Amino acid sequence: MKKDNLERFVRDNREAFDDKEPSGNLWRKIEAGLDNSGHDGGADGINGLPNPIMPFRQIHTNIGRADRRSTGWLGSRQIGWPMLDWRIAASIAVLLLAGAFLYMNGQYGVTHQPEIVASYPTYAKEVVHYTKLIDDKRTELKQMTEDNPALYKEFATDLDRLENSYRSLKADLPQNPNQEVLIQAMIQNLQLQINLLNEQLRVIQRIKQQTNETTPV
Amino acid sequence: MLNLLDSNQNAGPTYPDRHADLVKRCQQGERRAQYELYQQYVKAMYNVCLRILNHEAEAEDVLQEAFMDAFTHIGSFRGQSTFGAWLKQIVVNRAINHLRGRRLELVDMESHRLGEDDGPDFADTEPYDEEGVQFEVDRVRQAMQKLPEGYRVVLSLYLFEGYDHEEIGHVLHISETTSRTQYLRGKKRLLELLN
Repeated sequence: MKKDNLERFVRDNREAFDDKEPSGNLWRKIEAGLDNSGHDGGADGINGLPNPIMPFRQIHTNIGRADRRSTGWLGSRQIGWPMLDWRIAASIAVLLLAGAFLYMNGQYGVTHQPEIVASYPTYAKEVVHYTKLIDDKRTELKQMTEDNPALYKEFATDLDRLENSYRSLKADLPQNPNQEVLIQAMIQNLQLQINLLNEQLRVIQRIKQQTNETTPV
Repeated sequence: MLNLLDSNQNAGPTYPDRHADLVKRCQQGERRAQYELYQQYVKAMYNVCLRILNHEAEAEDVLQEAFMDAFTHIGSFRGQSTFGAWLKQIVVNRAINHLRGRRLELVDMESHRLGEDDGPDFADTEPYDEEGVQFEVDRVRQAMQKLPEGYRVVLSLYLFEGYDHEEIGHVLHISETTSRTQYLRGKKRLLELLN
């Protein structure tokens, strides 16, 4: 019957329990704190305008103040460096991420060949390396055969044949159950293209040498 | 949670619309309105802090932070609860965070930590016979102060702030059952201290 005496007693005397008062200067401290955060935010409360609300910075400045006032403060809100502006932190993070992405993209060609990167990152690196080589050599070839478009065309058809088979391999990749073998075949194809290009460049060089020799000095 | 709090809110003079105007003026950054709201709630909130922290200077520190927090974020107060309930939530959360921070320095040897519990112990939670216990405000208050921290916090939230065990579980990151057993044990200890 008297099981809940304590609960009832507290409920009935609730007001009497709330009899302690904080010290009189508490409001002044709060006011000072509010003013400070107002100055931090630029336009403050002097002219009665609302402060631009900056919750994160607000929390950090509060923590800074608390640290100075009571050394015993070790609140769990203290996440990082107390005075670090969150916007700076955010922009640094964004820059780092963008940099990391660009580097990875250069190394692995994420945007060019996402399917390979996803399943075989080590091969992806190889593929990127070879395709870059091929591009370089192809432009070189183009430059050297500027005066001989017929020769370039001949070379290009050979190269295109290889490139077409590379493309069909790549198209097969998503459905192929043995992807690793396929990727190896693709890499082999790229190596063939490089060898062919090297061969073609050598041929052109020889032709140029011959024409140089035959032209009378 | 705000709605739950709203229904059993019993700290301070709070009636749904009573301070709506003051709140609005605070949202516009009016310092006098802030002071008036502060006047309305400071005593009740101070006692809430004091019961949880059991330390006057720390209670004032936490209260200062809580009021500053409330006034800077009053723009996000949408009136789903009374202002008093909203404010009390900030105060209680801040006070409990402060306790957590404090424990990093002072590991209390009795290990009655927040949320630490060795499982339900039925013999231990048997209700204490409350008959013949003389209740007086001062004696109850003193007995509360002698309780281990974990009990004190659960008891003050349940008995004084009208939180239910689900809500206590939320704030303290413990299960509802743990809150219940902690409460029963704490109450038993309190009654022993009162006898």
